[in-house]
Amino acid sequence: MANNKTIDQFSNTGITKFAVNKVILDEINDRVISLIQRKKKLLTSKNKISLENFHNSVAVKNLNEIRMYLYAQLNKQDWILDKMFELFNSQIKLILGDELAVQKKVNLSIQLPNDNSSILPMHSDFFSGESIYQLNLWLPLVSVNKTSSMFYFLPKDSIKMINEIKKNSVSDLNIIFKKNYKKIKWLNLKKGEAAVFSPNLLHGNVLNKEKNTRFSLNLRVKNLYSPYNHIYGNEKKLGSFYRPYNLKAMTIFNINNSFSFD
Amino acid sequence: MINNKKKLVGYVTNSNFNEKIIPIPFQNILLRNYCKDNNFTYVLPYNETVFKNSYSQLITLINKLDKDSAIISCSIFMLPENENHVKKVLKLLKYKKTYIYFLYENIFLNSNLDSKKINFERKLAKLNNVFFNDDQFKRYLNILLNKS
Repeated sequence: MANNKTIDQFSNTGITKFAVNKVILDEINDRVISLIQRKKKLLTSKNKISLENFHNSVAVKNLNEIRMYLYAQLNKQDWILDKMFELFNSQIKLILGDELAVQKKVNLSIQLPNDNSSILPMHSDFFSGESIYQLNLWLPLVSVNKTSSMFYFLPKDSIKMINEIKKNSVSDLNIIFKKNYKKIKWLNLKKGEAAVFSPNLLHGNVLNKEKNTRFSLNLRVKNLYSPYNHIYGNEKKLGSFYRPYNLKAMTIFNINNSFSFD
Repeated sequence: MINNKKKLVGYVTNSNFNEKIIPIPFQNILLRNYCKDNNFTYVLPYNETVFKNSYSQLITLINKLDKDSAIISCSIFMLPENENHVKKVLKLLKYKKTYIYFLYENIFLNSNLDSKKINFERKLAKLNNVFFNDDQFKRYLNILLNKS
């Protein structure tokens, strides 16, 4: 039943949220905290690290250095990639299938309250050539609500706005965003919940006006055989942007042996 | 104006410009290195959309710039082809009292004079296609062969 619900919900809205395995989530949280503790020189407080209250432990000017350090360390030897697949396995199988192409590294986002240096304006991932068959996995490590979370637009609204962007080659996306602000949906999640969504939906984040810091991970995944962009020279393709994951024997056989209709 | 900016925000594209395609991670490295060498803070780039002749991200970026910031980009060929659109970009830059720096050509855009210079450089580059275009060469060759 849960499977049908996920499929229906995603098919209709392009987004679905669910509860994750808390043991794995705690493992990730512990790893992030222990990595942060290794960067004591960049911290402003000696108190115990809490991700929700991380803004009390760091200055904005040091944030990017910490973010880049965490990103590099978490992605070492695919540790975080494997954890993400453990957490999102059921949703990936239901929505995409088994044989996959996956973004090379897992991204980490940290949004301190009132920090305007980490804002990601409204966009669709295919604006830069990423596949329209891509699924975004989104895992907050803390509870997220309204401005500490991300916003998105429903498919019909997204298409309408994207058509407006396409129609006017020098349109300002912020003006379009403000014009449609009433239609936005916030992805509110409690700690222990995650979401998968089609990044074709216009989405992004705004200035975090809540009291807590947001830590979240995201990863882009698609079926190996779903279409990639056809744009000459665009790098958002297999081998440059995506790498294969869970290749099946038939694919490997055909990579190794050049049978062809031509 | 050029000296009072502390931050440069990147503007990158996946599309080809002047027959070149530079993957975005490499555009980022080039722009970041320039900023590092010249004591600017590099701010993560706006990536232009892949829609044909779209410059929405550039316009959005200029409108979003704060007082301390200007834009850095790889090439003048990443500007709109349409001259009226370039005028619009320039008008916004003037209004925001800022500029775009193009690394490859070492050209700034923040005045009418810069705009003329950029226009000239771009028209000059188009001559490559007029003079040395393969199709035209083949056509001339056919004419010559038919005459002989």
